Amino acid sequence: MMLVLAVFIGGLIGAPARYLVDAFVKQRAGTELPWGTLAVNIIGSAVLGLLMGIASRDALPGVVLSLVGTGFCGALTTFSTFSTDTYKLLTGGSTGKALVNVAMNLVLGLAAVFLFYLLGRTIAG
Amino acid sequence: MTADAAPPARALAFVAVGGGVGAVVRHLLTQTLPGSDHPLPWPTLVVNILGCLLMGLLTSELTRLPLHRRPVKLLLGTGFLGGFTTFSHYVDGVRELTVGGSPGWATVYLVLSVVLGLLAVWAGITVGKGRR
Repeated sequence: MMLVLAVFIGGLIGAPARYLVDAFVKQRAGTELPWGTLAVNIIGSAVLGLLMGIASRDALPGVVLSLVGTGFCGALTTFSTFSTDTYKLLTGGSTGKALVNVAMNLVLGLAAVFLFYLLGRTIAG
Repeated sequence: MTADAAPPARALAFVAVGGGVGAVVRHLLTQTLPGSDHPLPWPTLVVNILGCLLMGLLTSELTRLPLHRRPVKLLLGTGFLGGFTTFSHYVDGVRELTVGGSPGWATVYLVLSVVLGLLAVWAGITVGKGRR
């Protein structure tokens, strides 16, 4: 029950944080590509990677993993909007942009999660 | 943030509540879904694909949603489905498979999620339009 509450609070913060970052990024970078979703997906992947790195050394309480990992990072990042944005680019005739969007999310998201996992492991080790 | 009928504070509240509930439903679902001997992280895959299907449905519904009902989009779309699906746990699953010595399954999971996600959005939008 305690962990469910932690996930709820994490989601309660993560989702509006995504909304705000998305609005902030859109205003500055434009809407040619879904830059806002890209930004939250990279940030969330980095934070989750860091947590998992620390957790791999058994140096992280379960409640923190539920609050920040499952709740906050899970709600800050979004797979449904990423897919819907890509689908709209594909069907809107912007195949190139759709491919660039997928490639950037995957490459940068994976780079973030791997690098910050190593960082977390190093810090906690 | 284009035509939002709701003022920012109210909009944030809708997104927050939706996101909190979405994260909890994801948590409970991934805990409940039966485990598998297969290396692929099925629970997260199921959650993300289901979320894409619902987002497709919602997107098609939204195109004929009157402006004063935009809070529905914030609560269910940006909030609930955004909080329900997760990109960070998806790429972390790829990392775990790679580090765990299954780079082949990591690649399968990486590609399968994107392809099924797009198909699910398409299916949701198509079903939503068919109900018109």
